[in-house]
Parts: sequence; structure tokens; C-alpha cells
Amino acid sequence: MKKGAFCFGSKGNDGFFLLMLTACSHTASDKDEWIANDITEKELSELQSQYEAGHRAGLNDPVQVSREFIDSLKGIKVDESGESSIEERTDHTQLAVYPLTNGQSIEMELVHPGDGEEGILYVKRYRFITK
Amino acid sequence: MIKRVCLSFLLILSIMVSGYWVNEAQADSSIDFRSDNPLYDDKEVLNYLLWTMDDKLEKDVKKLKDDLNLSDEEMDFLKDWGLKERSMVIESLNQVSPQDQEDAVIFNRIAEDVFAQRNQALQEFFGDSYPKLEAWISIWWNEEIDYRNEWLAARTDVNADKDRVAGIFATQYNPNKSGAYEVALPDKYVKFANLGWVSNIPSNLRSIYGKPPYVVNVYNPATGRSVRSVKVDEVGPWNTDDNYWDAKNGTNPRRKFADLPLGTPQAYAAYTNGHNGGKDQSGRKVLNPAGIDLTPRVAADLGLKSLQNAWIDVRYEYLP
Repeated sequence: MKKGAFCFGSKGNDGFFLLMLTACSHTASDKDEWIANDITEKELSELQSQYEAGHRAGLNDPVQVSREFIDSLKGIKVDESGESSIEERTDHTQLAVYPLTNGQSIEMELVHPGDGEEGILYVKRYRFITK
Repeated sequence: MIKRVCLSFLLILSIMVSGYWVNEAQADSSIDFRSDNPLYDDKEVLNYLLWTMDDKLEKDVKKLKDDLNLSDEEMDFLKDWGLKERSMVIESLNQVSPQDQEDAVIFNRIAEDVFAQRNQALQEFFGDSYPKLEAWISIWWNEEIDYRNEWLAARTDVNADKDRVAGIFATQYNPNKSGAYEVALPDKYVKFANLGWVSNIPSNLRSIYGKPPYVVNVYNPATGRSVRSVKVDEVGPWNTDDNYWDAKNGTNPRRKFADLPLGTPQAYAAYTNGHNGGKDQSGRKVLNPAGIDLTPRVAADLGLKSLQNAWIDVRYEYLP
């Protein structure tokens, strides 16, 4: 999604407004483009199965899902002295923002499989923000 | 007159004493509650009995075969259902809408349906012999709980000279990174500390979780094999805030389920005694009593086969 389109989105809730402010406060660059996470239905089903059998109990925790996703990306590291945030939106998606040691931040949109309301989460898309 | 006073005194005393015992009994019953028959209490009872590496349980399986004069075919049927108990819950979840899959209430209802199907399949397969199987499992279950509580206490005695060791039921999971050599414990901050996710540990706990890597030593009494210094890089089984190796009044107080004895995972208490209504901290019915999860590589080093459970000793000395 283009940055401008995001800023003028039609959803008018408070959470989204905050997100708009966050998104609009950054300088536009190619790196602001959302990148789709190419997780497959089969992989999601496997994660769901693990969770339902009592394993990997953090799969419904936005912190653990976000951090594991960042760890899976090569060449970036979270700035542990910075402030991260996780915003729960009214459409049952969540926006996680983590500062990185390279001065950028990473934004991740977390959703439930099938756009559901509860249970395991995964990163649907992400982008790097340059301040 | 003196006689009447004495009788009144005895009556009051007896009421006080009986009241005391009633209260004690009520307190005890709330602790020792158990279902008469696990077949009707939504538990993975066949998986536990037939897929756990444990000397006593293996003898129990042989006794089951002998007591009921079961054929190899009948034993295979039971073993097959031992695997189905776990897999069918997952398969059934995959057939409902994604929204419903995530709902603990739906999960619990599906578990009920699966165990009802299992019982029906057992009834149809065993026919007139089913009541004998049903009765055998009921008696075995109550004996197993008594035995296991004694076994756990004995393991504590065996390891009395070592710091923070407990007998724990272990299951197996597939790690985030294929082939990883790690274990999972139900304390998310141990994982956070080990993976360097310091900013996600609450500031009041950072010093407590400030000396990673955190590892455990694991010993399998059934094989005599052990693994040492295995990192805790995952969370679970079932819970995420149950640091059951910590006392409620210790330097790192147990965050949840502090009513349980030190060293007792909430999942074990939920499975055997119906603690928290038999549910985990997310409201899901606890289907097995696991307090630690092993990756297949760790399990193999302990002598376990694929999908096999075990009662093992875990040394938590190095945990916060």
C-alpha cells in the first residue's frame, strides 16, 4: 500500500488515527513500502496445530510473534534501549513497532489466520520506517 | 447437674471437633478432587497410558492386556486411539471457521466431541467387553494418580541433595527453527532473556532475568540418559506465566497459580486434580499434564521415540 493512501484511509477509529499520525510523521522513502510476509496456509496450519496441542504457547502473544519475526530477518537488530509499542486495533489486527539499532523502525501488522478474532497471530506484512 | 454439664460440654466439644473435620475434609476434597473415570473428563488418557516411556506405565499396559485378555489387534486399536486423541482435536479444529478455531470455548467443545467419539468407538469395538475396559481404566487412573504423587515425592527425595529438581511430564514439539536443540518451559521471560529481548521484560524483573543464558539439565530415569545445559528458548506447554520452580515468597515469586505446591506445573494440577477448572491460563482445557516440552533432538538424546512422552527429572538450578 502506498504511504499516502494509508494516511487518508477511510477507517475513522481512534486506533487508526494514531496509526495515521505515526505513519505520516515519517519521511517518505521506498523503504516505507509494506512488504507482504509470504507465510503459507500450510505453515499457518502447522503453527495452529502446535498451539492447540499445548505447545509453543507464545504463538498468541503479539510480543513473541513480533520478536521472532524480527529475529528471522537478517541484518537487523532491535534497539533494546528504545521504546516499542503494540497497538490493538478495533478490527482485531495489531500494529507492532520496534526501533532498530540502524536508526530505522520496523512496523508489523499482526493478524489472526483467516482474519479471525482470537488465538495465534502472525505477521501479515511489515515495513521499515526512516525517521 | 454435674452429669448434665459434662454431657453438654461433650456435646459442644463433639460439634467443634466434627466441624473441624468437616472443614478439613472440605479443604482436602478441594485439593484432591479427581474424576472417577478420565474417559469422561476430556483427557488424553490413552495417549498418556500407551505413549509414555515410563517403567510403571509400561507395566500397566502389560497388565491391561493380561487382565482383560486383549488381543494384539485390540491393543493396536487402543494405541491408535492414543494418537487420535491428540490429532483429532486438531483435525476437528481445522474444519471450523478460522474465527472459531481461536476461541477457547470452541476448543473445549471440540475436545468434548472428540473424546465422546473416542468413547463411542471404544464401545462399538469392544462391545460387551467395554464395561470391563471402562472399569479397568477407572481403577488404574486412581491408582496412577496416587502412584504418581508418591513417585514425584520420591524423585524429590532422590534429588534432595541437588538444588531445584523435580519430576515432570514431558511432551515433544516442533521448534521455530527446524532442528533446534532446546526446551520449552512455561515462563515467557526466560525465553525473552535467552533471546536478548530485554526491552520486553518488565523493568522490575530485568535484574532477576538479567543473567542469561538460562539452561536446564534433564534426566530420563527410564533410560538412564541425560542432557545438560539445554537452553530454554521456547514458551509452554500450555501456560506462559507459570514459573512453577519458584516459590511464591522467593526472590522471583511465582507469577501465576501460587496456590500450587512448589515444583508442580499448573498443567499437571489441571490434568490430574481439575485445578482452575481443568483449564490453562488462556481458558483451554488442559489435555495432558506436561510441564516441559522437548524438541525431537533433545527427546532422541534422552532415548525417546517420535511422539513419545516421558516422566523425567528436570534440574532448574540455573533458572531465575
